[in-house]
Amino acid sequence: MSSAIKVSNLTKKYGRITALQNVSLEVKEGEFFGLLGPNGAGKTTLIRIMTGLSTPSSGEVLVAGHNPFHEPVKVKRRFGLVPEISNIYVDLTAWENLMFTGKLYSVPKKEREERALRLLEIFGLKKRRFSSVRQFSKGMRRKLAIAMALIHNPQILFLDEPTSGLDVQSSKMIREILRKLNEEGTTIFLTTHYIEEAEKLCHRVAILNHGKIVAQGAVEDLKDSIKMSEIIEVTFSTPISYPSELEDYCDKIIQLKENVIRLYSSNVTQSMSVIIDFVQKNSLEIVAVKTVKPTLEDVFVKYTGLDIVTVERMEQIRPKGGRG
Amino acid sequence: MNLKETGEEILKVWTIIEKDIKTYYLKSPSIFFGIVFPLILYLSFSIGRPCITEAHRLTGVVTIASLFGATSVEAVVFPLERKSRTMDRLLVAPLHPWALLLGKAISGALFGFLVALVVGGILMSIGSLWRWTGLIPGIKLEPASFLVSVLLTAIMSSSLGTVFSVQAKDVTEAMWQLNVVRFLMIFLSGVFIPLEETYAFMPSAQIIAYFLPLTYSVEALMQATFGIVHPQRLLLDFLCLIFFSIIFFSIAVKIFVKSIR
Repeated sequence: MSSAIKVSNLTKKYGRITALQNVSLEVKEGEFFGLLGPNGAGKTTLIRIMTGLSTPSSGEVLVAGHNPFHEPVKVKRRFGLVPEISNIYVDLTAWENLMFTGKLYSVPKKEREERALRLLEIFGLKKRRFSSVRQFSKGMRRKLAIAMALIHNPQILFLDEPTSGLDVQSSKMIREILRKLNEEGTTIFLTTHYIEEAEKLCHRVAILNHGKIVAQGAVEDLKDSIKMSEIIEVTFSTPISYPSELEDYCDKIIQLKENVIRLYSSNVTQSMSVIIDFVQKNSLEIVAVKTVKPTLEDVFVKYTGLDIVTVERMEQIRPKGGRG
Repeated sequence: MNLKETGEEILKVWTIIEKDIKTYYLKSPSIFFGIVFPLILYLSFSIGRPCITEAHRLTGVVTIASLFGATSVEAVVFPLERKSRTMDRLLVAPLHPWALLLGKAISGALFGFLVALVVGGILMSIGSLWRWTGLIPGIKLEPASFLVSVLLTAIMSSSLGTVFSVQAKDVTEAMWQLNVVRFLMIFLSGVFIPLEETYAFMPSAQIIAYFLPLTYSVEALMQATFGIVHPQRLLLDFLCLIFFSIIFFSIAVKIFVKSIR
């Protein structure tokens, strides 16, 4: 399988600030690739460079086998971009927006109209095709932005936080459409800070933190890579203060809630006996104990150094409903 | 670029023009600075400076309608496209930066051309009535020369507007920068007052006027409206306007390409 996207030793500097440092990654044709990272990690900068909207300070980018800075027109025909903010002409109708984009990509009239109708139908916008986009909700605008990125049937689709700020139904619909598109052969490069979204959709992911790729690989491989630490989650009947005395007996402790702690340990038996001692000494009562399988979220926590509470908060910053 | 690709590129340029007409012509800054403001300027010169000849008043208002109309559309289009991030949509489309800018420049030029024709038409009709009463000197309109003069003025103005708007963060920034240039040109290019009068304090300073493109617009329009006396001079005015348009457009493309970082 050949490369759809290849990034080698890419660095981007804005004055003294290094936004991306020696980033290298490869996305195979037909792959669903996710770029994960906290806000400000450099995800949007990377996607802007890959699509020719920004130039790198050093390094090389190949998209569909061509350099977007040396052969921009050739490259641009082959991909579609859905930016984080839906960049649609709000004074035009949905239909006019689609026709405009189709014309920019030299899609013949008949094909353009047929394709636009099909896309509007898929995204549930057909009835509103002659309405001004100004009247559209955020979800409808995002769907239209994706439809516009698909009007020329691109080989590669770049999406920057496609479900950010959307309601549950819209997010779910977009994910389903993306999954189907990928099954039909479109290579998808997605940036997101919703880890669950990446885990559900992506074949492979890369984690970007402070402008550097800190982990990269298949989702299951990345989970296996942190399995040396078992995770024990203990729920107490009453709130407890942070159990610093347990720190010597495990790798890491995170207090998820006032009465819930999560311990990362390489020796579960030893950790359990220490927990029981702790419970007896402090006259506490355990409500539940469970061992947790590592998730992509745990991988993210390990490689970004963020604590899990911050990550969960980061994922919950989503109006109208949370995860879909 | 082969013939097919050139054809496709021209169609894309037209697509941008068509979209800009639908999207930006009726925006309030385009209407105010493109139509209302030149009329206010005309009235202020008509009432405040009765010494100015009707010929200068007429050609002056057509010139500034074209200048303000074309530049204002550019000052609206670029910042709004950047603000709404729709500029990114154009930048990721498979077309050359010069084609993108050409589309934008032509849409501005068309606006300036149309506004100047409407304003000029209205004033000429009124002028004809005045001539009938014997109050002002007559108009000897040369339609083809007049149309070319207005069109070239609009193209030059639009290219100038592109230079100042291509990197502007908002409409206000583009407008104030353009206002400095527009007003300087209006007062130094003999738009409302003949050059001899403008530079009466220091006749040698009149050379400044010949470095300003608007001087050639005024000269061309004067001949096209009130009779061609020096045809070679008119041709030279046209060539100068084309030269300035090419220079301004090339600068705008350079700034634009540099801004993609």
